[in-house]
Amino acid sequence: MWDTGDIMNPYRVSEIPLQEVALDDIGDAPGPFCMSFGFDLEPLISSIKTVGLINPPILRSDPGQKIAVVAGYRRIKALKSLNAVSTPCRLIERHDDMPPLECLLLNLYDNLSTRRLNDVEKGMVLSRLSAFVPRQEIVTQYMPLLGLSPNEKCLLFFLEMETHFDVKIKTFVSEGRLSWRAVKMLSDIDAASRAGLLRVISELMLNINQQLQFIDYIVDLSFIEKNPIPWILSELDLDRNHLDKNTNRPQQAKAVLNRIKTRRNPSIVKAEKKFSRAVINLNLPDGILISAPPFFEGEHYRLEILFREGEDLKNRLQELLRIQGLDKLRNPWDGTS
Amino acid sequence: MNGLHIRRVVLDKDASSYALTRQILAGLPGVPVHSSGLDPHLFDGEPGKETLHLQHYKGDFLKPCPGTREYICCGYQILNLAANCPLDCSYCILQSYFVNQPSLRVFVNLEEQLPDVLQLIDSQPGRIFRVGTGEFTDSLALDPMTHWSDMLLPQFSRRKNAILELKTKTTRISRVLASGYRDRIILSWSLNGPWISAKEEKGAASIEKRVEAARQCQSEGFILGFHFDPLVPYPGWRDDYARTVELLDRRIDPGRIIWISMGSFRFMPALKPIIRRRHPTSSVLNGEFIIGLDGKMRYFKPIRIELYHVIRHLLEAWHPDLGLYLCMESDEVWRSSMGWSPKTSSGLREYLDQRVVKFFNGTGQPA
Repeated sequence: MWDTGDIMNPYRVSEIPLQEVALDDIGDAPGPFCMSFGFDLEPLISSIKTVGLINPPILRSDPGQKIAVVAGYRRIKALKSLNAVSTPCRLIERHDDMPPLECLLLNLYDNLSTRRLNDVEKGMVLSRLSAFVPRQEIVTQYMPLLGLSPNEKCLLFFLEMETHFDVKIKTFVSEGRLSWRAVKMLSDIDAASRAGLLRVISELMLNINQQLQFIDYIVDLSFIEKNPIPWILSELDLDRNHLDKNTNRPQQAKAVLNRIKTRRNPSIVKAEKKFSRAVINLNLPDGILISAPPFFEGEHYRLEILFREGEDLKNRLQELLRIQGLDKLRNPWDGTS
Repeated sequence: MNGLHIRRVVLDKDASSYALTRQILAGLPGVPVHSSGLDPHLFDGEPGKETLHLQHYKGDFLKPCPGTREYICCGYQILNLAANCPLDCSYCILQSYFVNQPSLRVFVNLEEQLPDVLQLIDSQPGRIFRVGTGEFTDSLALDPMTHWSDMLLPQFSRRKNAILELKTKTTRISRVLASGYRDRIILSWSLNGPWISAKEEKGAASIEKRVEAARQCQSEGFILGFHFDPLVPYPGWRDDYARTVELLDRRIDPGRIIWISMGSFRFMPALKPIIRRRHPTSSVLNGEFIIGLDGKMRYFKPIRIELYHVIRHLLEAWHPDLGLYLCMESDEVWRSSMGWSPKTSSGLREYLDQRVVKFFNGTGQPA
């Protein structure tokens, strides 16, 4: 038989009587206890519209401040967007009734039992915990609870994300569009540089591979040219407004990466372009393709021929033999190709 | 002691009874000795190279060089005496190999295991064993403390189907010079451009001092080897490498060099963030790298070809028969830069074995 006496938290929130609180008296920000970011409110609005509020929020009032939400931040947001005037709730009115850490943990465990937190929300949790809990305890106890590696560097990154990243970047992170490898690379560099890199990543909506390549190139350029990353970024002028307006975002992302790659690896890009030009100049018939090995490192080039049957293949090979300049195709760094 | 800065010793329980342990500890008076049963994080944050860990090594002491089949490998055999190195070269691969074990580790059961190694060599008299100790540590950096040369030189010197190559960036040659053994022993120095050496090879002797040490050893009867590895291109690299070759020209008799290898900087991708963190002013990552066929980062092929081609011509202008070879390169790069290729790893092994025969002529004496 389960006994409520087994509950570690001695504060019986469920025993607080329900009361009606004006929504105008409740703060709009998530406040010190809530951890919601990047959510879609529409399903909740639709639910409240259809069946009403099922679970009343838990609020807390402190003298001289707007009422803070302990649990039910999204419900309050939904009610406000429905232009409701008040909400039934359980209001913690005296500080002694439930200390702030208990309020925070109540929200945390309430959330963890029903959903997975996104990375921005994890940052919110860690940031809020750091006001009450020693750092080592956060690392060893709470980071694994959130599914994070228990290390201090990772903690610092999340804390910084919460305090320094703007909403646009946080949205990008919360939607899972920033790979963990990218996060790891970013955690090795200073905050201003990181913010600059993240801005470009989110504006151009770089995919996972592009993010890694982009960060790697820019960090390299910063070392090679002995200039800080923000300076390199501003010098490259990667503002989307200054990119070709006639291209879509993926095309712009590709163009930006090519520009950076050319600056980072001029010889490689030059060879790629030269080889590509040489192949174009061959005017290969449709269905015949010549390609270089990755980075020209392997010794062999590749020829692909599409054909229907043996006779067709024979004709295509003869066609290939008649192509002028085929015998001049060579490594792009070896004289004329 | 002897240029080493050992501040503490960690002693494994099963390492305490060996003669090498007693000898090393006797040479480190006043240095605290801790049992390895202590908290493994006890020395976290301490510079790893100031901690000497004496271990009983349970693996094989002799292993083939871990070359990859994608590139031509020389077929070297590694005699595994220690792990890690007191020098602190920015480009060193050991930083990523031993990232969780940054201490200097010496395998004190060498004397116990050496007979097995020698038996293996003796059991294949038709095969030439080119053995080196410089893969996972510098061959001579720890010699003043470990006296490895005292143990190894007599054993290898008397074998007809093996050579021992001691590869170093130091000038710690006093023990090898004092030994009476010269036959089938090759003393080798890793070389680079003086600028790279000064900037990237922390703790190593200057190029001039290395060449001077090599000269002394050659004048005392040793056959020499040199290794231009890792080659790094940077503004002015041609002139810089030429200066090193000029230095060799002034001090060294080229006729008594068994081989000179060249290898360009290559690294597993995991090493990059380590270099960035440990050596923030390093230039070694500045070049144009691609992912090689073995998964390692290496310079774009034409850059490698140019490096080898230029240095090959510098060296061949000095002497036409230096036993030049490339470390871990493709047949194409060999042909393009060297004008010939051994084609395969076994071809390169044969070429280097012939150099051994030529220099030692199966008699134990230089030919």
